[in-house]
Amino acid sequence: MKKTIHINIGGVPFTIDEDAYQRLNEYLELLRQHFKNKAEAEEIISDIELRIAELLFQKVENGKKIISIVDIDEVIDILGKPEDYEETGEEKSEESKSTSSGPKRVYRDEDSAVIAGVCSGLGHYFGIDPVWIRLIFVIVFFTMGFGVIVYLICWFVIPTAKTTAEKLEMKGEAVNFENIGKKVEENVKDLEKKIKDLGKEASEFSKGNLKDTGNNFKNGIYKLASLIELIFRKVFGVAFFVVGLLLFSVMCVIALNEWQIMSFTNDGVQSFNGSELLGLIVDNAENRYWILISLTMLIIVPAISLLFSGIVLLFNIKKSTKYVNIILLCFFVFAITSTSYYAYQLSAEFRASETTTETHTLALKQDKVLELVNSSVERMDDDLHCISQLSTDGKINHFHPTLTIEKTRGNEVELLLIKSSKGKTSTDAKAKASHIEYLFSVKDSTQLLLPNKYSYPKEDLIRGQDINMVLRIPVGKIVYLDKNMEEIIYDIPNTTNTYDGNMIEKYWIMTEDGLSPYEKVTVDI
Amino acid sequence: MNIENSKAQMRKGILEFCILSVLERGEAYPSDIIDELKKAKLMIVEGTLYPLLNRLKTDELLAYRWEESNSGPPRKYYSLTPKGKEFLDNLAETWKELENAVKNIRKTK
Repeated sequence: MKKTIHINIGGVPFTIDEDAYQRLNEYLELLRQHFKNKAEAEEIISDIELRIAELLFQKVENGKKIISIVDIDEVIDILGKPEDYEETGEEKSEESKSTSSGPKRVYRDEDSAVIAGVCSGLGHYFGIDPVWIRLIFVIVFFTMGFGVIVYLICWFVIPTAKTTAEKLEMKGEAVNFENIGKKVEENVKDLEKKIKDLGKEASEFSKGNLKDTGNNFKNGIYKLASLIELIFRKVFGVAFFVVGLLLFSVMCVIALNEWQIMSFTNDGVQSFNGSELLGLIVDNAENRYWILISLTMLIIVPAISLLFSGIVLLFNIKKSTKYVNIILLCFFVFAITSTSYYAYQLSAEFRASETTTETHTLALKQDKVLELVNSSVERMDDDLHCISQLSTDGKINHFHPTLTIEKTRGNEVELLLIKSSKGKTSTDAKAKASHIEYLFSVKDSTQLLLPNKYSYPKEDLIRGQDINMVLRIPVGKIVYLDKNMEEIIYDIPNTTNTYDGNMIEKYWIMTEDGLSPYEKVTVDI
Repeated sequence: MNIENSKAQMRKGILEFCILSVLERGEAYPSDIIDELKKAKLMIVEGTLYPLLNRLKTDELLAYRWEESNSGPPRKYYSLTPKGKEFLDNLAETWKELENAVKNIRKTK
């Protein structure tokens, strides 16, 4: 079984075998390459096409229904290969100084390959010695190792130059910015000429052959479209390639460093270990492993496909990337499925929520001012509020417990510790809440030392453990808020509606209406 | 020295002269010209003809007109322009001179 194609040569329809069509196409491409530095190349080629049509038509008239590859070979023999053309000296000299402006594509040059011909192919494409490209790859290999990945991708994506036409395309005019500009200019000029010629030719052809005029106009539109396509191709190609490479490199660095994630803070760059944090949330090592793999793939797969399409667009590669796309899609679907699975599984661990409240009566001197002091030595960075820390004694430290102050009917000062946690079941949540440890202390019966952190055993894992404190003081009791208490106090109600930040380093007295500023300067301590 | 190459070199110069000579007898389209040249064993491959015709046309030695063909694609009929005729006469003169020159040289050998 053979596939046949209907084509139109010089206005005559033919039915032709697919392989024959390809042979014919290659031949015309060779001619185009040969005549490309001539202004009238298109006219010469369309003249030759007419002759081809004539020769094929004779075969059809002799009863041939479908043009086969043998017929095409015969025609090519009659017309001859460009290298057999006997041209006058003038044209020869033109040819010798010719540099092509035909279509150029990147191919791997296996004829002068060291590994797979990627560098020599790129060398042809950019019109420089492949040695330089090899050098760049080697340097990149030694610094980051990315040279290998880029090389492998190129090896996979860039096709080999097999046919003569492809080799010509490969060795065509170097593609650099200067030449792209030149090419654009040429196309525009060509288009102008086309439009001018259109008027002239319209009258010339008015006798009968209107088909050609239509073709020429169509040609003009086609040229314009391909010019726009060229520009888009390059712009998007560069954008895709750069974004893809960037994303890819960043993800590789993160993944290779076990998810060491950089975060930018007021003080500069800080990093925390993502996989370590994950270890405090998920206890099953195997699950952790798969979660990291899924997350990595979720980002790397789109990055690779961006990189791919960038290269394909940029170098005008014709090779089908269907299989690559299917493989990438499979990976991506896997990454999404597994990420959602683990996200769902993890959410089950947070289903129940429980609170336990402990009340501590503080032994204080009744008539003295109570000083509230933040006993933590290290100051916390504002941007790292939510970050947990694994302490050396195997506990998870959390920062920023919150404190508010309320009025009590009794005479004693009480500290309420409201511990809350999430868990799989309410028993689980309750147990986890009661495991929360908060080490406050009373000093000299006048100072309440409150650390800015609470902790719980590592085995409990991070399950949204939180601690909220309520300090209950009787009416008439005076409190002083230490400067660093700002990190702990949270939305303390008071009669003057003063914000937390403005409440520190001041004396406050509990009244029937709530906490009020205590203005008396001479304080009896 | 490649004999084929030398032959091709010789034919090259004469080809132009012959094409113009064929057209001197009247309008013709490429296939006619090809047939004539092939009969005279002046042409190896047809592809040679088209760039030549094109160049002669660009130099305004030839003009062409389109004609629909009822058997096959439309045909481009070429004819000599007055300038082409003048050019051909010039070439013909040179040819005669060359012919004589070659004859004389060959005789003396």
